[in-house]
Amino acid sequence: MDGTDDTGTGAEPPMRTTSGEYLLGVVGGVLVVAVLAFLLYDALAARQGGPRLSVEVTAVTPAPEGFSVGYELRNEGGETAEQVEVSAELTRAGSPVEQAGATADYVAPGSRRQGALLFTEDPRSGELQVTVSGYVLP
Amino acid sequence: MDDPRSAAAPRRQELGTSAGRAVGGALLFALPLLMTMEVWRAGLSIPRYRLALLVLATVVLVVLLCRFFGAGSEGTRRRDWLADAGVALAMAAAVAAGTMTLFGLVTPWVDWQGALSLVAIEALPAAVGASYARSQLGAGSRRPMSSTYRHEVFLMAAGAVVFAANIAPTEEVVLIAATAGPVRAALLIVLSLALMHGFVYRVGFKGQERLEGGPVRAFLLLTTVGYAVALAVSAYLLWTFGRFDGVDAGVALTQAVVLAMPASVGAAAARLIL
Repeated sequence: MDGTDDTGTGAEPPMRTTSGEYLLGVVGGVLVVAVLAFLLYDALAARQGGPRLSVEVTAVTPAPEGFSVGYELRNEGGETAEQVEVSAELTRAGSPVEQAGATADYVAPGSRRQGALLFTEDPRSGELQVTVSGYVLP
Repeated sequence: MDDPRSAAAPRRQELGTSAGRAVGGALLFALPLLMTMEVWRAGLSIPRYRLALLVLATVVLVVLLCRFFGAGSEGTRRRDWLADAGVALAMAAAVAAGTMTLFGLVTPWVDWQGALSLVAIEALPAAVGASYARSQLGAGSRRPMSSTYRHEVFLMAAGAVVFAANIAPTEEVVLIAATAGPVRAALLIVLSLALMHGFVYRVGFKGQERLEGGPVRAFLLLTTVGYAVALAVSAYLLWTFGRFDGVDAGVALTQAVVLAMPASVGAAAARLIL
């Protein structure tokens, strides 16, 4: 039925919006409302206060030179933290053995970042403390 | 016996064609922003009310674009242009979500909140591109251009948004503004005005307009108003991306002036293209 398409003479009957387009249009409208509802929820319920950072060791694995301590950084607060410093100290019998550190570029609210700290000594023997030592606000 | 042209049955465009055009336009306009690092960070970081305002601004812009310039079929009833806007927004969201998933920036089934935030911030160029492609790039697309003053100003705003949105999130605006003193800022304003006027009336691009009512009138009515619109759009986008946070008014104004230069080129170009 569209055999005479694209001739552009202007003599054709007008092209109508199809039911498919109406349907897709409604989908678009619903999407917009959903995004706005999410943003409202996020603003009023989820994002409260400044950054709340926590770090957790996920795994200790042997690395080519020494050991790799995998960590996961979380931000459960309401603001992004930038240049988040993760520092770790390994102590044995009360005396410090080794230190390691890493910096995460940014951790957005409700998100997680992973990384690893590298040690030459085995962190599984002794006491390993991993903390967030500081960050910058955007 | 039947001349197909006089057939009463209206021609209908395949949904696939229509949606495909929207995808093409969305990619064309949004890829620069989809591949800008600052935007990913801003999507997750900027205060939610600013992101919500940006989404609302996007919707208003796209609805008005569809209303004034059409975006697919030739229907002119309200539900036609609303449907056109909806198609543009739906395909823009699909393009943004699909591309960012493919790039590995979000994993919607793991972090749907992050994905929605990114879609919200990327929807602006994608949806404008989608509606632009459907109205202008399609064979048999529609709507004779009306060029009332209101439409011209709106058109300039749309062009300014498209150009400024690509540059506003970048660090470069802040850097340029930081080193530019008042003299350079003033020169930028003069240059922007000259560019706008030259683009539309002087250098003979296709679509060049005739000066109606003399150069002074055209300059005051369209060029300066267009520049003011470009400056306002620039300021709004910079504020949205948090560039005005913690800076004094002078620096903020300089940033807006810096961004208003590409924005005014976009505003002038929109008058030629659309």
